[in-house]
Amino acid sequence: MTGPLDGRVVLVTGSGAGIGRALCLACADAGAHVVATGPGDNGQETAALVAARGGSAIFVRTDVVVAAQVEHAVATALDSFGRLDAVVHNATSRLSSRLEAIDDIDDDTWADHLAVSLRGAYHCARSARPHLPAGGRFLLMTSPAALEGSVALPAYSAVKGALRGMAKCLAVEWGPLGITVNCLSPLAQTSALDNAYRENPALEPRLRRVVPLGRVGHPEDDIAPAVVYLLSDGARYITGQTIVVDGGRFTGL
Amino acid sequence: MARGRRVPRPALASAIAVIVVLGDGVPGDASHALARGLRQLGEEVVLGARVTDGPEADDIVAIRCAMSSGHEVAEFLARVEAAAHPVHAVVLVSTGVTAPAPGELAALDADQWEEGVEAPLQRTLACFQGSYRRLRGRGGCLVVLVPTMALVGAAGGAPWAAVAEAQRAMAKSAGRSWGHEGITVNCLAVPASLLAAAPSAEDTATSGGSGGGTGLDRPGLPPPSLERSPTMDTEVAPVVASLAARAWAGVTGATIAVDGGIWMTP
Repeated sequence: MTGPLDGRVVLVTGSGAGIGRALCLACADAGAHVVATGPGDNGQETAALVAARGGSAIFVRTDVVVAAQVEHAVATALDSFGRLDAVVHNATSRLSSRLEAIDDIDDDTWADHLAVSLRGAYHCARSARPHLPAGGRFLLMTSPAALEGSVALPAYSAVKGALRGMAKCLAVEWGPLGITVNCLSPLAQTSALDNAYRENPALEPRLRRVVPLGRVGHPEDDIAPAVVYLLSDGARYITGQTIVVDGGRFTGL
Repeated sequence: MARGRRVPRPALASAIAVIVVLGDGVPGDASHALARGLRQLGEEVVLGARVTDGPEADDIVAIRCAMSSGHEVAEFLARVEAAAHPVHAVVLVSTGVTAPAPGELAALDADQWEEGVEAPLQRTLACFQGSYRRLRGRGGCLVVLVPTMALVGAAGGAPWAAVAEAQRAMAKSAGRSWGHEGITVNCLAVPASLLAAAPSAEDTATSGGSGGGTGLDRPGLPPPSLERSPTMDTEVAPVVASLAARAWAGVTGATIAVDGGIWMTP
C-alpha cells in the first residue's frame, strides 16, 4: 500500500512533542522518511514512536538557532535518504506559552522568540533551498495569534506573523523553482493552550462557543492530516497561503 | 484605569512623532516626505531616527532616538514634548531595505539577517513599549506604515516582509491590549517603492539568481485602479493625520491599504 508521501523525505523541526510529534507520526504513516529534529532527547522518542508504528524516521539533535546544526540536519537527511523533499518548521521558543503583556516583554524573551521561530526559519530556508527539488515543500507553522494578535502572547504573535511575511515572499521567490511555500495556522490542544486555560479558566468554554465545530483540534487527528495534504502532490498548486486549520474559528479571509 | 473608559484625545496643541524603525531617516527619504506632508496639514511633527540630530535641511526637526529600549523611546517622546507639544500620535516608518538590498533569502548572510530583520524588530518592540508608556493614561494613536509587499509577497522581500508582518501582528496585539486606555493602533499599507530607497540597477542585476527575480513589487501587476500610485506627502500624510483625529477613535487593529487600489486584500 502506498501513501501520499511515499518515499519522500520530510524534515520537521520541534519534533519532540505536541504538534511536531504529531506531524512526524502522520508523515511517516503517509509513507515519508521523517527526519525528526529538536534540541532535546524527546525528538529521539518521537523517532522511536514512528519506528514502533512501522514507519521510517531518524532523529538529528538540532537547535535551529545554530546555523551549523541546521546544515548538519539537512546533510544527515541527504546522507541517510538521498534526498530532501520537504521542511516543516514547527519549532518555537520554550517561552512561547508564557503569558505577558507587550510592556512586560524583556530583551531576553524577545530575543529567544526571534531566534527560534524566525532565525530558525531563516536557517532552514538557507540550508534546505539548494537541495529542495521541483515539487519541494517549505511549510512554516504559524498561529491564530499571528492573524488576530494576542493580548497574552504578543511576542509569540509577532514572530508567527513574521513567518507569514517570510512565507509569502519565499513563495514568490521560489515559485519558478517549483517549490511551494505556505503557512499553516492550527488551533490545537497544546501546552501553550493548557497554560492559557490555567491562567484564564473562562477561555476553554469561550473557545468552544466561538469555534463553529465546537472543539479545539487534536494535533494528530485534526492538524497533522492537513499538513500531510500540503506536502502531497494534491497541494502542488497551493503556495503563498496561510492555511487555517481551526474548526472555523477564524473566518476573516 | 477601568476597562471601557475612553480617554479623550487632545484636540489642539499636540504633536506627531515620526520614528524611523528601519532605515536612516535622512532628508529625501520617505520619513521626511511624510513629515513634510503632515506639516503642510498644520501638524507639528518631530522626527526620531538613530543617526540624526537637530534641524535637517528641509527644516524638519529631528531628534536622535536609538530605540535601544522602551525606556529610551519614552524618553525620546518626553524630549519631543519638551521641544514641542504633548504627543498624541506616534508613527513608525520603515524607509527601506538599502542594507541589505533585496535579494534571495538563501543568499543572505548572518550579519545581513541581523541588520535587516532582528535589529529592526528589536527597535520595533522598543517603540511599541515606549509609545505605550508615554500615551497611557491620556490616549492617542500609534500608526505603523508597512509595505504592501509584506501583505502579498515579493521575491527578495522576505527580510522586510518578516519585519512588517511582525509589526502588523504586534499592532493587533497592542490594539487589543490598549483600547481601554484610549490608545488606537493601526497599520497603513503603502507601496514598498514609496517607502524604500529604490535599489540601484546594479543591485537588481547582482541579486537576481535562480529564483523568481528580486524587487519590491510583484512583476505583471495591473496599474493602480486610481490610475496613479499614492505620494507620501499629499496622499499618505492626510490619512495618517486622519487616523490621529477623533473620527477614527473607534478603529483599532486595522490595516488600511493606501496603494491606489492594486491589491484590495481581504
